[in-house]
Amino acid sequence: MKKTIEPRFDETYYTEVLDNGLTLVIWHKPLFTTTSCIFATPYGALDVSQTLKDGTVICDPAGIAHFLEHKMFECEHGDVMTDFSEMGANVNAFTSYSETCYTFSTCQKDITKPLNLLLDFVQKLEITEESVEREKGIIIQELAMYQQMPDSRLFNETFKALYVHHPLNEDIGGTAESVRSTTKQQLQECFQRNYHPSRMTLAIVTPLEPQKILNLVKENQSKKSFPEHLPLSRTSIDEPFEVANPHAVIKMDVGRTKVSLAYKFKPLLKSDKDRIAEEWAVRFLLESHFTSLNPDYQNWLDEGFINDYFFYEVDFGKDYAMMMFANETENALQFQTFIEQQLAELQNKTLSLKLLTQLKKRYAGQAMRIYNSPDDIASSIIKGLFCKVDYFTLIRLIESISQSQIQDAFQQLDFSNYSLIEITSKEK
Amino acid sequence: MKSEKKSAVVLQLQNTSKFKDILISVRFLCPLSRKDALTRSILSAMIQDRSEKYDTKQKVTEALDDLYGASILSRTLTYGKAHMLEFRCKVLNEKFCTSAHLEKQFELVHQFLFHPLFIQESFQEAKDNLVDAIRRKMDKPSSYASNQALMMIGKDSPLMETCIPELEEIEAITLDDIKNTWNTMMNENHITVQVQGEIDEDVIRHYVHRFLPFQSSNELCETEYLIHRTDVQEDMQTKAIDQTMLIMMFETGINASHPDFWKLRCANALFGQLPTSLLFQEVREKRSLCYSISSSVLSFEGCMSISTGVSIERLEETKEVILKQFERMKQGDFSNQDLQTAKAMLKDSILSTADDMNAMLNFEYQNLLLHQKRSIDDFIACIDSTQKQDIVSLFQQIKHRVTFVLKQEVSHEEDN
Repeated sequence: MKKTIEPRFDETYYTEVLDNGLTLVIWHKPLFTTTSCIFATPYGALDVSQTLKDGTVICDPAGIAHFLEHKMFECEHGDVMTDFSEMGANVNAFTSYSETCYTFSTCQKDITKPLNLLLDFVQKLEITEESVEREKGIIIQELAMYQQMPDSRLFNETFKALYVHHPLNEDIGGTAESVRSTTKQQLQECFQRNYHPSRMTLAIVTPLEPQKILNLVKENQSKKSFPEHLPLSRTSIDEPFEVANPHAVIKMDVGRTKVSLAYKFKPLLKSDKDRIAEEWAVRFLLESHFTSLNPDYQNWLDEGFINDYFFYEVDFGKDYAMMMFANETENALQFQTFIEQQLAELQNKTLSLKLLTQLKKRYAGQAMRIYNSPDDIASSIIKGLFCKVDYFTLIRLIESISQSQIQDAFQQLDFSNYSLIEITSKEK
Repeated sequence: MKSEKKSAVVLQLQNTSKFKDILISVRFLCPLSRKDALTRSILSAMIQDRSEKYDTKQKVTEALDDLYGASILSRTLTYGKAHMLEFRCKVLNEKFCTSAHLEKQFELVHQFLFHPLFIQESFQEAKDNLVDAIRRKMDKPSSYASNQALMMIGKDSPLMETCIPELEEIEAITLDDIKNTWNTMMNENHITVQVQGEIDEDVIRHYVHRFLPFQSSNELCETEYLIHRTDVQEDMQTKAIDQTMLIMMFETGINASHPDFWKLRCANALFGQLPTSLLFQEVREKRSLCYSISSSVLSFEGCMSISTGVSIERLEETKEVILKQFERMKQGDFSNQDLQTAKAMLKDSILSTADDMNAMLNFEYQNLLLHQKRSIDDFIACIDSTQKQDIVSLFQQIKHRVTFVLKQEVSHEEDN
């Protein structure tokens, strides 16, 4: 087991890749009471279509990764939630665009039982036709819940307006129709393809003795055998450069209209590290201009161009790149013009060294803060490993960003493809 | 956590090297009234927005960034019959930085609390933001439905003072109201200062004395009360939404300092708080009626609420199943194992507060409000001592009082 000490952060962690390929990270936090674990696979909502090494393409219904996450909890005697609860451990799971994570946390001084249970239930799928059918009602209600929340609806509708074929255009959970069409066999095949230990990572943040934890994991894994894993990848999407819908108006029972202006860029065909560096470079510039760091920001609020809901988002993924600005306003076109003017201004703007230094100081402090929370540490481990830029590397990468890098990154963006999305009252 | 009363304020210090930050929290407590609560909401927003020295948002941000992305937060909260305004400042421990800045952190807190900027522009912005926040809340079906249910069970009680205000009430507040409220807060409220992190307690006492020189602090005001209704109410409204919201409210007769409070917490965990609870298992897992269902206890009011979202076609079935689980609790129709599981989970949740900065401060503050000095171990002992018969007796006293339904329009499109 490799021990790493980060003296600047006063943090110590251990890593090991087991014989079956499972990556294990144990983060030692001796002063804490809580142990927080995440067992994760890099399989999320965007992996709805996968290509095997021999070129075979497998397409599943939208939302299948999320559906599978729900069904993993089932076991022959019911569901594992009850088992975890009896051990005094909180179990949960979530599916994002790029990963599915199973978590538990507990303050118990002996985590043998919950840790073994986590490893066992995530590595074994036990479902029946009947239980798959029963789950559909629950998931459809979950989708309905998010559908009626204006904020999450704004995000979903933004992606839907931007993307024609890319799976970003669907909710992480899919649609009621895709959920209804999902079969037991499809779930089993997804499990076999994506839950092999060589694809997965186990992150454990704990006050307990790391060597003892490693032994527990090794002992558990040594009793299991797994079929050979067939390499696979997310199927590349032939996504047009143009947006799916330049202007979407969604009617909801809301009192205040929410607007999003979103830009679709060509994906950055670069290494993970360079792509993330470029996203941060753009973020630096947006943060300096579209927040209170800009002296004009107060005028924008006072003159009603934006309100306190206003935010921006930038996301350069492996096979997509986008930027969005959101606000509450009854005049969407005025908001569009306002953002366009600001972006034009930014084309010729250089971030001052003073502001760059100030922002780096802020991000350095914020980076340190995640070490206050076992859950946050575990999440950052998974995120870092799956995007191949670990958290410490990310911090150093942010600290190294230069003024010219920021300017170059921004000037390369082509803002000609965009969608305007309005979530507005039914009565308008 | 050490608690001491020094001159005007209560000072609570928690010395721990567990966290990377130093957290300063100043809490102002006064009796709850609707107008004060609204005025203090606006004041809270103004306090954290700007100050005399940092008179623009840009200057505030610069000052915070200079302290390695320090965060400030001002918020308001009700504790039963009392209203609290808290100002919180979190800064990275200077041992991780190249320069010493604990003194600067206290200076910053001093500036925001003692030298707020009361100008018309900032006032209007805070009012506009509050109106927008209320609209946002009303647009969220779950928040709207919960508010309606609270208004029903809280009629003629202090709970009404905390319900979502009308826009006219906000409009009527003036800048002078804000100034007067700030004066009252600084001079007549009960004030508690909490400092947490790796600290030298003598240094902290010195800084508190120097930078937070409050002149007077009133005694603690009353907080808890018991909601008591004699009627049973049902109401239904319709909205163009995708899911029907169902809220049920119950009167428990038990609030936070009641000797049976932790028995109630065990009962609630068993009934609907946990994924292993009767409600979750019967309503979601067995019948697939919903995605989310939970019950929660209102500690300072003596209430319990259940909240879920279902399809309109299965609303009546859901109500029946919920009430059946309520009856099961009254009849003791649950196993000892179920109870042991609920207790184990509750204990774990209490233990985990020790790993959360904010939770620890809230824990100590609640002790203060309830005039008690109880430790996590004391609460664990209360949970351990809870028996099945305790739960049954307690549930037999609980009364179902309110059902509110925010119904989805049937004509609304079913999917997407």
